[in-house]
Amino acid sequence: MSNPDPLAAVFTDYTDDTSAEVRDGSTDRLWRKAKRRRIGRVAVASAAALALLVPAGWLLANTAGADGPEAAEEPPPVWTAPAPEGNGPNTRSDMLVKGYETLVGAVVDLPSFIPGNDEVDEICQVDDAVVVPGWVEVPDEEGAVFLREYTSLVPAMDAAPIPVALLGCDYGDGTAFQVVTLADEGDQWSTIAQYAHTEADGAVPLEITGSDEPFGEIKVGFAERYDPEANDLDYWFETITLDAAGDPVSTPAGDLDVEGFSDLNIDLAAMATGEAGVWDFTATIRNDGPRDATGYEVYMCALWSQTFTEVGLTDCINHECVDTGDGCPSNREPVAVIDLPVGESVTYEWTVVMDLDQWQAYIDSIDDAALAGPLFEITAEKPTEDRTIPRSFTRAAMFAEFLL
Amino acid sequence: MNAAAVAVTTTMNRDRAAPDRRAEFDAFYARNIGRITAQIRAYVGDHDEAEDLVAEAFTRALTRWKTVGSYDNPATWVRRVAWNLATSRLRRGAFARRFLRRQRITDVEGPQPDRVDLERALTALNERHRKAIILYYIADMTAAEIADQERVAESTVRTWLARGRAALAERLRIDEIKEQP
Repeated sequence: MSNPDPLAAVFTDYTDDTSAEVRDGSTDRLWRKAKRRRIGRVAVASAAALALLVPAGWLLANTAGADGPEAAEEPPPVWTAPAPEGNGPNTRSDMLVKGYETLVGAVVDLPSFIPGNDEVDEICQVDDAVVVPGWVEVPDEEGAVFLREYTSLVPAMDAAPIPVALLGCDYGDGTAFQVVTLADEGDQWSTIAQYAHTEADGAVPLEITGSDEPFGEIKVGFAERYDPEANDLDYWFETITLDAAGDPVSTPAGDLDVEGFSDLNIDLAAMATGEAGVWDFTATIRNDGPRDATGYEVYMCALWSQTFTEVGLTDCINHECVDTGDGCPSNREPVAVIDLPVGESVTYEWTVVMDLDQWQAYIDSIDDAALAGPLFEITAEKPTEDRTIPRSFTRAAMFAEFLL
Repeated sequence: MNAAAVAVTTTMNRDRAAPDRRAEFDAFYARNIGRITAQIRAYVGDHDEAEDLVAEAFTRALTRWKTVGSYDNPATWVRRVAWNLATSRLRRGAFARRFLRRQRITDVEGPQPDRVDLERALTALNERHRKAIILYYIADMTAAEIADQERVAESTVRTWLARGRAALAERLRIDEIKEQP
């Protein structure tokens, strides 16, 4: 006769005690939370659809204008919502692509970040990985799969857009990235195809841009693995499609002029003044080399910029809109243009005032305040004249501070 | 009518048409909330954190209840999401620091360990050993089921359990640990 397992009794008591301590037996809170989340998703998805449809609508308007005799008198393109058209494949609801906030926190199955590298596979879990935010900086936790960028592509005429994600993972000796198309299967996401991944000691995908057309294309920005001692770094873009077998096919799209590309670091500190909603910010931008930085544009933005008063802030989500209290009258403007030799730094200070009523209204409208901010972000960018290369690829530094 | 209004109306209609779904989910919640919370609390060592994590997992199940509710065992899905969330949160900075502070308290007095002692002892275990122990003793999973979930060999889980038991016995001052499973 065997003795009873003494741990079994310990755990039985523990389970009974802790189960009894569960405070809220009602699901009311969950139902309210789920409802807010659904509505929030609908709102975000609708905004995403607007973003997707505006270029198409703009294109149609221009095409029609160019073909007609009144082309020169065409008013500026204005998007108007199409009327619902039933449940066919081209209805508006089919055009919705869920936003990045839906992917963050989701469970996703991915291919390897660096195929064939067992050490990276061991650290960077790709089966049932939980995606964490990482669009500003690499998360501290080693092995976490983080979302750096999110866009969409349209695979074919009349097809619904597909989410495209640039995901990363810090494996200790570096950070690996991969570009994948994803499918939301309800309880989790799965990978449709891998378009690019970090090559061991080689190219690293660092930027993605998607678009409605040409169909099935993703433009991916690559860089060599960063080496602070090197001075011959390459940065380039490739257009990637899938062939009939589903394998990625790359075509060079353009090189980035590396002159002036340097490793800028930004430290941003937010300090409460003691007065409710009033914060002092200090941002220090430092050039760690390898090149002198020239012509870098410094921007600052805020999530839900309406919550910040007294400082006209760009909205972090909609970079084309600057909220100055009168809607969105202009494109964003840099707060400074800087030249910064290697080893030198420059410091800026601002006082910002939050409209706490606006902020509360924002918090009430979302589900997870921890993912939403309020966020204050500063970037230093090197503009490029090559329109085929996204400006954001030249981003040298970004820092965001969550205030609350 | 704009698109957002159309979509919200659709959502509201769905809510009005689903009293059975609510009753079904509520019953599922009542059956499982205690045990899953106990598991996550044992894993993270903090009741409030555990409640938050489990609430989030149940909320995700609720927003996908049409799919999740059709599974053979929806509780498995919720438990898995809760574990993933807990693992993710454990690895984050602030919570990890609190967790590590608790880890320093490793020596437990007294021959009759209570739940505080048990939580402290659990926090000192290797993460995989801790997870295996919790799934075995609180989730009532067999070594084979844990191996299947964790995608490792059953012998590996048996090793985790043995090491976890030995470490717990030492910290809880339990002299006789049954050699099983």
